Amino acid sequence: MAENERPAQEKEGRTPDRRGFLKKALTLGGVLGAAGAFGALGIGKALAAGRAGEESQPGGMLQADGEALTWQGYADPNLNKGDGWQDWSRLLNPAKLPIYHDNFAQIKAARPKHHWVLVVDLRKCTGCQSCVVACKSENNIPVGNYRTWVDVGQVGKTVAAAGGDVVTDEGSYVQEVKVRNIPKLCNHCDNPPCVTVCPVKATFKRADGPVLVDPRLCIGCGTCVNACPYDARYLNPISHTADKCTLCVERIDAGLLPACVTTCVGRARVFGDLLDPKSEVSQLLAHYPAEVRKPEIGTKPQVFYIGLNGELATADNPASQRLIYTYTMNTNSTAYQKLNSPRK
Amino acid sequence: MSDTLNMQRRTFLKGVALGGSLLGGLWGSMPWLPDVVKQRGQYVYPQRVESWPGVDVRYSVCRQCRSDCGLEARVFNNVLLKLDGNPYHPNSTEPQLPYATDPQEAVRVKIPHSICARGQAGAQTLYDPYRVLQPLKRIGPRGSGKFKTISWEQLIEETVNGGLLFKDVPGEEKRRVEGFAQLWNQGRGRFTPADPAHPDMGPQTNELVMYWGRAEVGQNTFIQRFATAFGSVNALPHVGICELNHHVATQQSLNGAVAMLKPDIANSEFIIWFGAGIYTANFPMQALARKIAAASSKGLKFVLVDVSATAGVAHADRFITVKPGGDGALAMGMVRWILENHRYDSRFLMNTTLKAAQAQGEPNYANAAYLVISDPSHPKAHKFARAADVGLAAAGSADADKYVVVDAGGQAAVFDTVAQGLLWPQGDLEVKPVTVGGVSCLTAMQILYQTAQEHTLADYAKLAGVSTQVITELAREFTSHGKKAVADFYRGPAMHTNGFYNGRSIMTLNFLIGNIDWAGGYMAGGGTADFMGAKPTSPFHLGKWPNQPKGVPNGVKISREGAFYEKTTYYKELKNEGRSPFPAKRPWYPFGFGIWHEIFGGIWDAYPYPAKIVYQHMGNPAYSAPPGMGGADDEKLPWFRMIKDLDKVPLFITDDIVLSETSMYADYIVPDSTFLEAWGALPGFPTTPTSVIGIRQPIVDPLMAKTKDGRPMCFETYYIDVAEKLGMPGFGKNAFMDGGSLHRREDFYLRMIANVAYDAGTYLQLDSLGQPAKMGPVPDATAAEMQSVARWQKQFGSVLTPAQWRKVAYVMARGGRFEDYGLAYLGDKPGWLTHRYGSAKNLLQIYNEGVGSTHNAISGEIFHGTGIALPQRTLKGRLLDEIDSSKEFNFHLTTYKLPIHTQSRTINDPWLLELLAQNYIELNDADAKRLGIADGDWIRVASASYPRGITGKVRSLPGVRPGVVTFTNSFGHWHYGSGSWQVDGQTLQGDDSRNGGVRLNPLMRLDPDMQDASGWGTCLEDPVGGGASYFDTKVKISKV
Repeated sequence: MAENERPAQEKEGRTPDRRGFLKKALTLGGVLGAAGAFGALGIGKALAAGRAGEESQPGGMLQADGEALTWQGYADPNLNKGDGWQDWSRLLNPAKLPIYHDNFAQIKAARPKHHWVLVVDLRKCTGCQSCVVACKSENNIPVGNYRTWVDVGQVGKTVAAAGGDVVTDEGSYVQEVKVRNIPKLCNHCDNPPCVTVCPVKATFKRADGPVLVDPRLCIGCGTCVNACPYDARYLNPISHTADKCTLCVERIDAGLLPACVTTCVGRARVFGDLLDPKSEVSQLLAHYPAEVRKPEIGTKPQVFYIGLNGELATADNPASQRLIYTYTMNTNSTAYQKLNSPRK
Repeated sequence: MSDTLNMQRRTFLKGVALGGSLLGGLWGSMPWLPDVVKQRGQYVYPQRVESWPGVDVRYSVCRQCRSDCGLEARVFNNVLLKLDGNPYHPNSTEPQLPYATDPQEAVRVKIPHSICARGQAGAQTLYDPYRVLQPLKRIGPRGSGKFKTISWEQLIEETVNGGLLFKDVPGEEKRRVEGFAQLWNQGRGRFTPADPAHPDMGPQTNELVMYWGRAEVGQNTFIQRFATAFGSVNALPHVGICELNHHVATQQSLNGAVAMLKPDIANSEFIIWFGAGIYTANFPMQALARKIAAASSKGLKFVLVDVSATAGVAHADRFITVKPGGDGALAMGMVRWILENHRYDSRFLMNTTLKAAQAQGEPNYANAAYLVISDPSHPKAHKFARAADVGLAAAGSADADKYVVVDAGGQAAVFDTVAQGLLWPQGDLEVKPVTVGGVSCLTAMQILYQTAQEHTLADYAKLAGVSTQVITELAREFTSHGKKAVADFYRGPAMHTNGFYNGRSIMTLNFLIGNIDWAGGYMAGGGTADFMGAKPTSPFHLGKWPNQPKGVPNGVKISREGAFYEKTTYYKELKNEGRSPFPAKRPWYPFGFGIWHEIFGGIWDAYPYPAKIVYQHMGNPAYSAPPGMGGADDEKLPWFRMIKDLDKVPLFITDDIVLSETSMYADYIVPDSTFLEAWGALPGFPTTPTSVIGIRQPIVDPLMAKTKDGRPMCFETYYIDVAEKLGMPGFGKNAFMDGGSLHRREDFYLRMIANVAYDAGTYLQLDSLGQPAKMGPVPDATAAEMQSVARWQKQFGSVLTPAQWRKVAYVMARGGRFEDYGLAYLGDKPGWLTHRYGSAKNLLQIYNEGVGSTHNAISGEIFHGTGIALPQRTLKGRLLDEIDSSKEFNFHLTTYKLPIHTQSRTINDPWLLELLAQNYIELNDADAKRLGIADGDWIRVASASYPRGITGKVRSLPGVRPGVVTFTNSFGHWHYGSGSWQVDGQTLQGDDSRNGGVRLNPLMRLDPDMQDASGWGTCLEDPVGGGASYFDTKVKISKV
């Protein structure tokens, strides 16, 4: 089919859009039982044996409403070992640090040993999406959902101008264009509105900074998803619990870097302890002006940006950011939706 | 607007909260029953961390693109958990860990050790549910998608012995297929000319044509070994559709061998990148991006010259769009301005030898002052004058062949008798020839200036599509940083019909400021280990094997690359008959290599001989070009016509990891390893100033089925079994010079790694005085480090001696061999790089006599020896602008890359696919406005060679140059584990989400001079480099 006319694919809502997936997941309710049954290995083996068994047709990862969502993490029985890894108490808080559901101002008084933060140096972000995929791989994030994402946009316009650098048969132009890359994730706020609203105290802030969710307690009501002004939480369509960036807490507790920092190609993401004045994050914040997203709402974000345009810090609206395209977050913009609308 | 969006989110969440809270309430009432959650979906745990007991950290090398970054794989219970970068590998980590670092420390490092999004998603390439894991045989017509699984034994038997292999396929009942055995003919095929009338074309074993899309070092040497032992010269890479003209322009500007230089980004002050795809692709994508981001945040100024904005614009100081193919005009305009304003380094350029250069503190020298015979009637016209040509030495004397310069006193002199030669023997910027010994000559510099004078600055600006100011500003800035400025380029300027010259012109800019081998300048990068073991200190000479006859293989490659037409019997016959040897039947490319379109053109025209067996390794030409010859599910396109022609391609075997657009047409499919199941030894790129080689190893047990004796089914095992059945040398028993046998792929690759470990000549370390000194073989592994080879020793213990294993383990425990970071800038003189292009007496060629005296085999024109700005032309030299009128075809089609994909083979990774489900046809915002096209509109794009056109959705971007229509690669698949196919009578339905978006390659112009009566033809090509033209097609667009 040389011509790109595939009306079947142009169904509304087929775009892999975070919110769309959330919507689907929620409308699907509890039909996901078998979603993970086709471990990738299992399917591979079916083909290896030369069988085209009926189960070897998962039918793709981007599903229309009403079909099973494919779980792209490694839900592999080989990993279900009783080696002690799969213990949420240990994963979330092995040192049994104090946790807070409110009264966050008391954290300082408790004199925690560390205050973990992330500095995003936009002078180095190349917009490559490595952090996005690393997070998905490290944390088994279902397809269509993200704990972190990177908005990539072209900002500007082409202006006809005598004497412009661009000379064509039609005339001269100036191409006022800039590419902007803005990684986004949970801000691990010092005053997190998502935590206080939780009706069952499933979500909490650990004394050393990370805002976490205990999936054993979460009832999946979505209140915290609603309360986050940064759209940094989602309901996991597999477990039906609220999910979000953990700063890879199990990694930092093991003395390692979060996955997104480990793999940041431009070294734009810097992780460290704000209580250590020699740490790279402290040094960066001491030497360069930094901003946070939406400072005006008083959430006290602990993800700091160097080189963030002030307007972009606040605006959530892709149109006002003049984002021409982005791989992920902006798929909910009117412009993007129009791009993906069915063919007339 | 923001509120509306939030409202939407909140409103639906409210609704959800209602419906969901019923369910949620149910679950919430039983939070003490986590099993309920488990049953609802697989439990969401993070992956086990590196230091968790039972997690094995294994180092290997990525192949999601060609950057070959070091990998750190976390494996648990033989399942790949996560991929990261190898902290010892300089692609992934900067500064990388000192090589001596204990691997147990490396596992716990608190420094970033990255790989890109593509690399991260490599796990999904391994675990693609649509992997081909058993041999398949076609049971319907080619392209029908009907296969059956066959046994390994049947695969070997049928492809070796041939016969009525497809007698059950309608129309092929009586087609007798020749297998390897018929070409081999008990070894005699290697000595039987394919065409007795033209024995210089080589033997009938050349009728085995092997090519690949991707096979790096290690695997490509394995393919070459098979082809060489079989007696075929045809083991050919894909460079012609990649960036070939960049490599050829670089080689022919340098010593003919070094194919790439890169800026020393960390120390440079000003860099111009012409069409180089930084932050998205290039070599190695992530090291380049990381170094540029770091340097530009500390003050590096850089300019991007391209036809549409790529990711690098994020940090660029200036972004300039040029007319596609206008890069050479921009560069030659700069050359002219630099010469006329005396902003070139004449002190450097006048040096005649390395010795003279070094006396002035320069690490290399150029041929700027050498005299070229400019009299067109002279029998050696366009060649450098030699001493004997101009009476400076007697023929046959020691000096006879030496170059000639004009010394400071205006006297002609043998080049190595004087330290400096005049650039302008007739006066400053004077291009009048000088007569030496009665022969009219010009210096290389004079020819360059004469060429630069072909256009005024205003004309160059017009040809490049920029204002004159752009040229002068860039030229001034470029010449304002001493040797700490670089003009680098990649695929953008190169893949045009004028691509070679665009590249030559850009290379010349660097020569004019003499920046090669300098910190902050243009660098050749570190060395690499002698992995093939050619040196006597290496334990295994893998390029040689017992019983290989001398002179096998021989002849000309089917793509006619690496061969001068002027030296063939074809040329001589016509000459002798007094006829014009031009045009040849198809072009000849003495300077190019890996020219896919000419492999296919050669197969179609059976020129210089027919193909009998076509073997493809890891390639996908049906999808990924050559331009205009494939790229859509349209069997009228030339590649499909070729592959469906059973006479032209009697037997087509591929190896593959999934059913791709191409393997859908295969007669036999050999299941192959993904890079996470394969071996290899991967050298570094010039981006890294220190010596590098990464070792690829299978990081999990291969998923492919196994042979009866337990070997994984993959292309190497296939070659081995074919070779053993035929009794070819170099395989089976007594396959190595040490007498060992080659029955398992590891017999070969473990020897290769031993060569790396024992390399004694390349790697440097600091001696006790702090001076760089040769390192010699690596140390012996500790007992803990021996763990890195435990699983290989268990299976292949006898391949190496215990002493060799200890060395190999030291390398494997670190994922390769890497020179320490601090050794980069320890050249003999301040400012010199440690590893230098000039060290081996290499010179820089302002003028190249080999190019300057060779013919375009189609048009008969003689190529030009310096850089030059030329318009886009056909192989016969006709102007494309005059063939496709600009009035009708008023847009220019180009392509670009995203950082999340690699050509044809990453669309099967859901983590990448979900980032962008489809691509768009992209236009400049002002153009879109002018044409009344809104984002999301459907348009049709059509070209003269594909008038039916292709439709797709538009989005407008301010970064696309006005008059350009572009799209990103990697989308528009129709079969890559997608679509449907049949195996053993059952229909398999793939994942059609892989088919999103649009691919405009079929629109790309076929060369009208190379189309036959049936309309079959090859793409536009660069007549010098041989690379395909991707960016010269003029198109028209219309709303649908």
